Amino acid sequence: MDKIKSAVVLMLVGVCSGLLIFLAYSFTAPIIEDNKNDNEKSTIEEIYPDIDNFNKEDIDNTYIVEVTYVYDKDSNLLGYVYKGSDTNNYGDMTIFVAIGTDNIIDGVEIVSTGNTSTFVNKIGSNVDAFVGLDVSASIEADTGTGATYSYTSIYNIVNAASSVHMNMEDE
Amino acid sequence: MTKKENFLKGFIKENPIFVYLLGMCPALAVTSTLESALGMGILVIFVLICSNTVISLISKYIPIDVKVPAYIVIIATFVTIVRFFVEAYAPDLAITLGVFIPLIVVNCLILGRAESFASKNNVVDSAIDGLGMGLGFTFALCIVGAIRELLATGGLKYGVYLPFGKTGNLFTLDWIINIFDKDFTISDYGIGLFASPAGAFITIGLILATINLYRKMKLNKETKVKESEA
Repeated sequence: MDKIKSAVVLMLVGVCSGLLIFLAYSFTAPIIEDNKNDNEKSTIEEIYPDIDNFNKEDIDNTYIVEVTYVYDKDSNLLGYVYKGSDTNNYGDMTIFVAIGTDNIIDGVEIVSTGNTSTFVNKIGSNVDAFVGLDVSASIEADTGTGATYSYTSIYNIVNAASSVHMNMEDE
Repeated sequence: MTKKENFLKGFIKENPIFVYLLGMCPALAVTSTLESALGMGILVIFVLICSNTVISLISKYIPIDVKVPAYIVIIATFVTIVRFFVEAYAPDLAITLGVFIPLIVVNCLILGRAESFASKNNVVDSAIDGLGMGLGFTFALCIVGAIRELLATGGLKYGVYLPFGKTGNLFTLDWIINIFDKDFTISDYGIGLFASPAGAFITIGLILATINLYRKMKLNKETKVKESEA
């Protein structure tokens, strides 16, 4: 009888908790989504300041989930921004890899991450080293960065973006 | 204990960090700047008040064998709610605190107050205890954060992580450098070590040593007075 009482009490606590979390989620989810979209948009604007409009397309790949075609005010294609994500031992990472029409990497930006910020901040210069590389050639990585997991995730996403980009070019 | 004593005890006498050494994980991990320390403190205050209040309300209905799991579910609920609101209204703070927001669930201070105070006292006293202890925790985090940021960057900034509307310098030591040479800024002379976790250990260690020294000196003084009276 005591065990049933304990189970019922614990279940009631769980149900109430679930309801409270649901209410908080319902209230905050649209705001969080807006923040995410604003953050993504400003990241693309940082890489391509001449952006006027863009359109998105879903991609079926292990790392890359979406490509954004970026255009200037004359509707000239400025470049492609590949959105990739990976999960390592420290959490998720979402990265933007911008590749220009000349197949050169224009920017690699960390959009969001659950990895420890101290480690992520350590690899800023290593991430910047990808900028200017030609994706038609193989991309080398130096994982001795002091934040191996975070950097490996970024490297995997950059590599995947390069492959997807070259496949699209071939098609 | 009066309500005032209950509220004030968390600041100095029973300070969670400087006296009980509770909640040391966030104290070491997120105090690299004053603002991130303040942000973590605000979250802990909210969770402490809410969890203490709810636990005080329902503790007599919770069987003893499921007490701890029930408390953890309650604390986790408020931590999850806090996380949603931080991601919505202070996304920069959410990014900076990262995994340490969900880790508030296992903060010894919160479970400790639930078990040792809220489950044995009425709602009002439990809420006051939560507020007092939370403010004491925040006060300690802010001291550590301010010392670390000052030594690492030579100044204190605001508006970087918390939504104050604008970013600026709360305080800077630039004037010291300007006495010698106007072409330099204090940030060029920052001790980078204090922005790293090692700096947190050193800072907290020095603060604890200072507090213990003060206590020892006070005790010696009292002993001498008693001896002279005898």
